[in-house]
Amino acid sequence: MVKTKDALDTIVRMLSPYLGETMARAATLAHCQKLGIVVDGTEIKTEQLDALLRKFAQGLNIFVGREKAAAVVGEIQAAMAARPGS
Amino acid sequence: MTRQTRTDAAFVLAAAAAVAPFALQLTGLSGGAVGEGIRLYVGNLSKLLFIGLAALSAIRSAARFESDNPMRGTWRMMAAGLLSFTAGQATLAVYQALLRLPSPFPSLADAFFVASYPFLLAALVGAIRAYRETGYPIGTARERVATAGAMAALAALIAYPTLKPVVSVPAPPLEMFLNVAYPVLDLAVLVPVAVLLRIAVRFRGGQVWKVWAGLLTGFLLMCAGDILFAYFTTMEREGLDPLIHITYILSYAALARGALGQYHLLKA
Repeated sequence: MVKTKDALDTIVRMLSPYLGETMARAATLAHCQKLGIVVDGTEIKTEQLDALLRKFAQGLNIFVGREKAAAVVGEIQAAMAARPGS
Repeated sequence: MTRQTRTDAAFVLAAAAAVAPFALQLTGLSGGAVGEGIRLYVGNLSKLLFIGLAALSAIRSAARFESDNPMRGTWRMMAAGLLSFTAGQATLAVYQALLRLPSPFPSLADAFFVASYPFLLAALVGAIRAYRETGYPIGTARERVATAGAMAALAALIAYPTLKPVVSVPAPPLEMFLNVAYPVLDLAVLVPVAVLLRIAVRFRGGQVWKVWAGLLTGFLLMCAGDILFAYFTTMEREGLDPLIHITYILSYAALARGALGQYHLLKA
Protein backbone atom coordinates (compact mmCIF):
# COMPACT_ATOMS: atom_id res chain seq x y z
CA MET A 1 0.00 0.00 0.00
CA VAL A 2 1.04 3.59 -0.74
CA LYS A 3 0.21 6.80 1.09
CA THR A 4 -2.83 8.32 -0.63
CA LYS A 5 -1.42 11.84 -0.79
CA ASP A 6 1.89 10.63 -2.27
CA ALA A 7 0.10 8.50 -4.86
CA LEU A 8 -2.24 11.29 -5.94
CA ASP A 9 0.58 13.85 -6.03
CA THR A 10 2.59 11.52 -8.25
CA ILE A 11 -0.35 11.02 -10.61
CA VAL A 12 -0.98 14.78 -10.84
CA ARG A 13 2.72 15.49 -11.42
CA MET A 14 3.02 12.87 -14.18
CA LEU A 15 -0.20 13.88 -15.95
CA SER A 16 0.28 17.65 -15.73
CA PRO A 17 2.51 17.91 -18.84
CA TYR A 18 -0.37 16.44 -20.88
CA LEU A 19 -3.52 17.66 -19.15
CA GLY A 20 -2.26 20.77 -17.37
CA GLU A 21 -2.05 20.85 -13.58
CA THR A 22 -5.60 22.15 -13.03
CA MET A 23 -7.22 19.37 -15.08
CA ALA A 24 -4.86 16.69 -13.73
CA ARG A 25 -5.85 17.63 -10.18
CA ALA A 26 -9.56 18.01 -10.96
CA ALA A 27 -9.66 14.70 -12.86
CA THR A 28 -7.85 12.93 -10.00
CA LEU A 29 -10.38 14.19 -7.47
CA ALA A 30 -13.33 13.36 -9.77
CA HIS A 31 -12.07 9.81 -10.41
CA CYS A 32 -11.35 9.25 -6.71
CA GLN A 33 -14.88 10.34 -5.88
CA LYS A 34 -16.34 7.95 -8.49
CA LEU A 35 -14.22 5.07 -7.21
CA GLY A 36 -14.93 5.79 -3.55
CA ILE A 37 -11.29 6.59 -2.76
CA VAL A 38 -10.94 8.88 0.26
CA VAL A 39 -8.47 11.53 -0.92
CA ASP A 40 -7.43 12.56 2.58
CA GLY A 41 -7.21 8.95 3.73
CA THR A 42 -3.94 7.53 5.00
CA GLU A 43 -3.26 4.78 2.52
CA ILE A 44 -4.56 3.73 -0.87
CA LYS A 45 -4.97 0.03 -1.63
CA THR A 46 -3.20 -1.48 -4.64
CA GLU A 47 -6.56 -2.44 -6.20
CA GLN A 48 -7.84 1.12 -5.77
CA LEU A 49 -4.69 2.52 -7.34
CA ASP A 50 -4.97 0.13 -10.28
CA ALA A 51 -8.62 1.08 -10.78
CA LEU A 52 -7.70 4.78 -10.63
CA LEU A 53 -4.94 4.37 -13.23
CA ARG A 54 -7.27 2.34 -15.48
CA LYS A 55 -9.80 5.17 -15.31
CA PHE A 56 -7.12 7.69 -16.24
CA ALA A 57 -5.86 5.55 -19.10
CA GLN A 58 -9.39 5.26 -20.57
CA GLY A 59 -9.69 9.05 -20.75
CA LEU A 60 -6.09 9.62 -21.78
CA ASN A 61 -6.62 7.33 -24.81
CA ILE A 62 -8.81 10.03 -26.34
CA PHE A 63 -6.05 12.63 -26.12
CA VAL A 64 -2.86 10.69 -26.73
CA GLY A 65 -3.88 7.31 -28.14
CA ARG A 66 -3.80 3.93 -26.40
CA GLU A 67 -0.08 3.30 -26.87
CA LYS A 68 1.00 6.59 -25.32
CA ALA A 69 -1.64 6.34 -22.57
CA ALA A 70 -0.26 2.92 -21.60
CA ALA A 71 3.26 4.36 -21.58
CA VAL A 72 2.20 7.25 -19.33
CA VAL A 73 0.47 4.86 -16.90
CA GLY A 74 3.63 2.71 -16.93
CA GLU A 75 5.69 5.79 -16.06
CA ILE A 76 3.35 6.60 -13.18
CA GLN A 77 3.64 3.05 -11.84
CA ALA A 78 7.44 3.20 -12.17
CA ALA A 79 7.50 6.55 -10.34
CA MET A 80 5.39 5.07 -7.53
CA ALA A 81 7.66 2.05 -7.27
CA ALA A 82 10.73 4.30 -7.12
CA ARG A 83 9.38 6.28 -4.16
CA PRO A 84 11.28 5.68 -0.92
CA GLY A 85 9.45 3.29 1.34
CA SER A 86 7.30 1.76 -1.41
CA MET B 1 15.15 23.89 -24.81
CA THR B 2 12.48 21.20 -25.37
CA ARG B 3 11.29 20.05 -28.78
CA GLN B 4 7.99 21.76 -28.11
CA THR B 5 9.67 25.10 -27.39
CA ARG B 6 11.84 24.75 -30.49
CA THR B 7 8.78 23.98 -32.62
CA ASP B 8 6.91 26.97 -31.16
CA ALA B 9 9.89 29.23 -31.87
CA ALA B 10 10.19 27.92 -35.45
CA PHE B 11 6.49 28.59 -36.07
CA VAL B 12 6.63 32.10 -34.62
CA LEU B 13 9.70 32.94 -36.74
CA ALA B 14 8.26 31.45 -39.94
CA ALA B 15 4.89 33.18 -39.45
CA ALA B 16 6.56 36.51 -38.64
CA ALA B 17 8.75 36.27 -41.75
CA ALA B 18 5.72 35.41 -43.90
CA VAL B 19 3.56 38.30 -42.68
CA ALA B 20 6.38 40.89 -42.63
CA PRO B 21 6.07 41.93 -46.33
CA PHE B 22 2.32 42.48 -45.86
CA ALA B 23 2.76 44.35 -42.57
CA LEU B 24 5.31 46.63 -44.26
CA GLN B 25 2.83 47.32 -47.07
CA LEU B 26 0.18 48.28 -44.52
CA THR B 27 2.58 50.84 -43.05
CA GLY B 28 3.17 52.35 -46.49
CA LEU B 29 6.43 50.54 -47.32
CA SER B 30 5.21 48.60 -50.33
CA GLY B 31 8.65 48.22 -51.96
CA GLY B 32 7.39 48.77 -55.51
CA ALA B 33 7.52 45.93 -58.06
CA VAL B 34 10.08 43.97 -56.02
CA GLY B 35 7.86 44.15 -52.95
CA GLU B 36 4.89 43.07 -55.06
CA GLY B 37 6.83 40.02 -56.28
CA ILE B 38 8.00 39.11 -52.79
CA ARG B 39 4.45 39.31 -51.43
CA LEU B 40 3.14 37.20 -54.30
CA TYR B 41 5.56 34.33 -53.71
CA VAL B 42 5.93 34.57 -49.92
CA GLY B 43 2.17 34.86 -49.46
CA ASN B 44 1.28 31.93 -51.69
CA LEU B 45 4.12 29.70 -50.55
CA SER B 46 3.64 30.30 -46.83
CA LYS B 47 -0.13 29.73 -46.98
CA LEU B 48 0.33 26.55 -48.99
CA LEU B 49 3.09 25.22 -46.71
CA PHE B 50 1.24 25.98 -43.48
CA ILE B 51 -2.13 24.58 -44.56
CA GLY B 52 -0.42 21.61 -46.25
CA LEU B 53 1.47 20.87 -43.02
CA ALA B 54 -1.80 21.12 -41.07
CA ALA B 55 -3.45 18.61 -43.44
CA LEU B 56 -0.48 16.23 -43.35
CA SER B 57 -0.32 16.34 -39.54
CA ALA B 58 -4.07 15.67 -39.36
CA ILE B 59 -3.70 12.65 -41.68
CA ARG B 60 -0.81 11.28 -39.62
CA SER B 61 -2.70 11.89 -36.36
CA ALA B 62 -5.78 10.05 -37.68
CA ALA B 63 -3.56 7.14 -38.72
CA ARG B 64 -1.98 6.89 -35.26
CA PHE B 65 -5.26 6.73 -33.34
CA GLU B 66 -6.55 3.15 -32.94
CA SER B 67 -9.47 2.10 -35.15
CA ASP B 68 -11.90 2.06 -32.19
CA ASN B 69 -10.76 5.44 -30.84
CA PRO B 70 -13.43 8.12 -31.47
CA MET B 71 -10.68 10.66 -32.20
CA ARG B 72 -9.64 8.74 -35.30
CA GLY B 73 -12.87 9.71 -37.09
CA THR B 74 -12.54 13.26 -35.79
CA TRP B 75 -9.02 13.64 -37.17
CA ARG B 76 -10.03 12.01 -40.46
CA MET B 77 -12.73 14.65 -40.86
CA MET B 78 -10.24 17.34 -39.89
CA ALA B 79 -7.78 15.96 -42.45
CA ALA B 80 -10.44 15.93 -45.20
CA GLY B 81 -11.37 19.54 -44.42
CA LEU B 82 -7.77 20.72 -44.31
CA LEU B 83 -6.92 18.80 -47.50
CA SER B 84 -9.78 20.49 -49.28
CA PHE B 85 -8.48 23.83 -48.02
CA THR B 86 -5.00 22.93 -49.27
CA ALA B 87 -6.43 22.13 -52.72
CA GLY B 88 -8.20 25.50 -52.74
CA GLN B 89 -5.03 27.31 -51.72
CA ALA B 90 -3.00 25.42 -54.35
CA THR B 91 -5.51 26.47 -57.02
CA LEU B 92 -5.11 30.12 -56.02
CA ALA B 93 -1.31 29.73 -56.06
CA VAL B 94 -1.46 28.39 -59.65
CA TYR B 95 -3.40 31.46 -60.80
CA GLN B 96 -1.33 33.98 -58.90
CA ALA B 97 2.24 32.66 -58.77
CA LEU B 98 2.47 30.39 -61.84
CA LEU B 99 0.10 31.98 -64.40
CA ARG B 100 0.68 35.46 -62.94
CA LEU B 101 -3.03 36.20 -63.26
CA PRO B 102 -5.29 37.89 -60.74
CA SER B 103 -7.18 34.96 -59.21
CA PRO B 104 -10.75 34.97 -60.47
CA PHE B 105 -13.57 35.14 -57.96
CA PRO B 106 -15.44 32.81 -57.96
CA SER B 107 -13.08 30.04 -59.11
CA LEU B 108 -12.42 26.32 -58.63
CA ALA B 109 -10.64 27.29 -55.41
CA ASP B 110 -13.96 28.37 -53.91
CA ALA B 111 -15.45 24.93 -54.60
CA PHE B 112 -12.64 23.39 -52.51
CA PHE B 113 -12.95 25.99 -49.75
CA VAL B 114 -16.74 25.61 -49.45
CA ALA B 115 -16.47 21.79 -49.57
CA SER B 116 -14.13 21.82 -46.57
CA TYR B 117 -16.66 23.26 -44.12
CA PRO B 118 -18.90 20.20 -43.59
CA PHE B 119 -15.78 18.15 -42.78
CA LEU B 120 -14.42 20.76 -40.36
CA LEU B 121 -17.80 21.11 -38.65
CA ALA B 122 -18.08 17.33 -38.31
CA ALA B 123 -14.53 17.18 -36.88
CA LEU B 124 -15.22 19.83 -34.25
CA VAL B 125 -18.54 18.29 -33.19
CA GLY B 126 -16.85 14.86 -33.12
CA ALA B 127 -14.14 16.20 -30.82
CA ILE B 128 -16.74 17.54 -28.38
CA ARG B 129 -18.46 14.12 -28.34
CA ALA B 130 -15.18 12.27 -27.86
CA TYR B 131 -14.04 14.54 -25.03
CA ARG B 132 -17.33 13.93 -23.27
CA GLU B 133 -16.39 10.24 -23.18
CA THR B 134 -13.11 10.82 -21.34
CA GLY B 135 -14.85 10.98 -17.97
CA TYR B 136 -12.70 14.01 -17.14
CA PRO B 137 -14.42 17.07 -15.61
CA ILE B 138 -14.91 19.04 -18.84
CA GLY B 139 -18.12 20.75 -17.70
CA THR B 140 -21.77 19.82 -17.85
CA ALA B 141 -23.95 19.32 -20.94
CA ARG B 142 -25.97 22.35 -19.81
CA GLU B 143 -22.79 24.50 -19.86
CA ARG B 144 -21.96 23.31 -23.38
CA VAL B 145 -25.48 24.04 -24.63
CA ALA B 146 -25.36 27.49 -23.00
CA THR B 147 -21.99 28.23 -24.62
CA ALA B 148 -23.24 27.09 -28.03
CA GLY B 149 -26.40 29.19 -27.64
CA ALA B 150 -24.46 32.28 -26.58
CA MET B 151 -22.03 31.87 -29.49
CA ALA B 152 -24.89 31.37 -31.97
CA ALA B 153 -26.51 34.58 -30.71
CA LEU B 154 -23.21 36.45 -30.94
CA ALA B 155 -22.69 35.07 -34.46
CA ALA B 156 -26.10 36.39 -35.48
CA LEU B 157 -25.18 39.80 -34.05
CA ILE B 158 -21.90 39.80 -36.00
CA ALA B 159 -23.55 38.48 -39.18
CA TYR B 160 -26.17 41.18 -39.48
CA PRO B 161 -23.94 44.30 -39.72
CA THR B 162 -21.29 42.36 -41.65
CA LEU B 163 -23.59 40.91 -44.28
CA LYS B 164 -25.95 43.86 -44.66
CA PRO B 165 -23.56 45.90 -46.85
CA VAL B 166 -22.48 42.72 -48.67
CA VAL B 167 -26.01 41.86 -49.80
CA SER B 168 -26.97 45.46 -50.54
CA VAL B 169 -24.29 45.90 -53.22
CA PRO B 170 -25.29 44.35 -56.57
CA ALA B 171 -23.08 41.41 -57.56
CA PRO B 172 -23.35 38.32 -59.82
CA PRO B 173 -25.37 35.57 -58.06
CA LEU B 174 -22.48 33.17 -57.44
CA GLU B 175 -20.22 35.96 -56.15
CA MET B 176 -22.99 37.17 -53.87
CA PHE B 177 -23.63 33.61 -52.67
CA LEU B 178 -19.97 33.08 -51.78
CA ASN B 179 -19.62 36.48 -50.11
CA VAL B 180 -22.51 35.49 -47.85
CA ALA B 181 -21.65 31.77 -47.56
CA TYR B 182 -18.08 32.23 -46.28
CA PRO B 183 -18.91 34.40 -43.26
CA VAL B 184 -22.04 32.33 -42.49
CA LEU B 185 -20.10 29.04 -42.64
CA ASP B 186 -17.31 30.56 -40.56
CA LEU B 187 -19.75 31.77 -37.95
CA ALA B 188 -21.33 28.30 -37.89
CA VAL B 189 -17.87 26.83 -37.26
CA LEU B 190 -17.41 29.29 -34.39
CA VAL B 191 -20.25 27.61 -32.43
CA PRO B 192 -18.40 24.28 -31.83
CA VAL B 193 -15.14 26.27 -31.62
CA ALA B 194 -16.55 28.21 -28.64
CA VAL B 195 -17.67 24.98 -26.93
CA LEU B 196 -14.25 23.39 -27.52
CA LEU B 197 -12.49 26.52 -26.30
CA ARG B 198 -14.43 26.30 -23.06
CA ILE B 199 -13.44 22.64 -22.71
CA ALA B 200 -9.83 23.17 -23.78
CA VAL B 201 -9.19 26.05 -21.40
CA ARG B 202 -9.53 23.56 -18.53
CA PHE B 203 -6.37 21.88 -19.87
CA ARG B 204 -4.29 25.09 -19.66
CA GLY B 205 -0.59 24.41 -19.19
CA GLY B 206 -0.73 20.96 -20.80
CA GLN B 207 0.00 19.71 -24.30
CA VAL B 208 -3.71 19.03 -24.95
CA TRP B 209 -4.35 22.74 -24.44
CA LYS B 210 -1.61 23.62 -26.96
CA VAL B 211 -3.21 21.44 -29.63
CA TRP B 212 -6.60 23.09 -29.25
CA ALA B 213 -5.24 26.57 -28.67
CA GLY B 214 -3.57 26.30 -32.09
CA LEU B 215 -6.55 24.81 -33.89
CA LEU B 216 -9.12 27.12 -32.35
CA THR B 217 -6.98 30.24 -32.92
CA GLY B 218 -6.67 29.09 -36.53
CA PHE B 219 -10.43 28.82 -36.94
CA LEU B 220 -11.05 32.19 -35.26
CA LEU B 221 -8.53 33.90 -37.57
CA MET B 222 -9.98 32.11 -40.61
CA CYS B 223 -13.39 33.49 -39.70
CA ALA B 224 -11.92 36.99 -39.28
CA GLY B 225 -10.15 36.69 -42.66
CA ASP B 226 -13.32 35.63 -44.48
CA ILE B 227 -15.37 38.42 -42.93
CA LEU B 228 -12.69 40.98 -43.85
CA PHE B 229 -12.50 39.53 -47.38
CA ALA B 230 -16.27 39.75 -47.91
CA TYR B 231 -16.38 43.25 -46.45
CA PHE B 232 -13.36 44.70 -48.27
CA THR B 233 -14.32 43.11 -51.60
CA THR B 234 -17.81 44.56 -51.42
CA MET B 235 -16.64 47.96 -50.22
CA GLU B 236 -13.79 47.97 -52.78
CA ARG B 237 -11.20 48.62 -50.07
CA GLU B 238 -8.30 46.88 -51.88
CA GLY B 239 -5.81 48.91 -49.84
CA LEU B 240 -6.61 46.72 -46.87
CA ASP B 241 -5.88 43.46 -48.75
CA PRO B 242 -2.58 42.94 -46.85
CA LEU B 243 -4.59 42.62 -43.65
CA ILE B 244 -6.55 39.73 -45.18
CA HIS B 245 -3.32 37.99 -46.22
CA ILE B 246 -1.85 38.45 -42.73
CA THR B 247 -4.99 36.97 -41.16
CA TYR B 248 -4.97 33.91 -43.45
CA ILE B 249 -1.24 33.26 -43.02
CA LEU B 250 -1.55 33.41 -39.22
CA SER B 251 -4.68 31.26 -39.35
CA TYR B 252 -2.97 28.51 -41.36
CA ALA B 253 0.15 28.71 -39.18
CA ALA B 254 -1.96 28.26 -36.04
CA LEU B 255 -3.85 25.32 -37.58
CA ALA B 256 -0.55 23.71 -38.57
CA ARG B 257 0.90 24.17 -35.07
CA GLY B 258 -2.19 22.67 -33.47
CA ALA B 259 -2.35 19.66 -35.81
CA LEU B 260 1.40 19.04 -35.53
CA GLY B 261 1.05 19.26 -31.74
CA GLN B 262 -1.54 16.47 -31.83
CA TYR B 263 0.77 14.29 -33.93
CA HIS B 264 3.68 14.86 -31.53
CA LEU B 265 1.38 14.04 -28.62
CA LEU B 266 0.52 10.69 -30.19
CA LYS B 267 4.07 9.61 -30.90
CA ALA B 268 5.17 7.17 -28.23
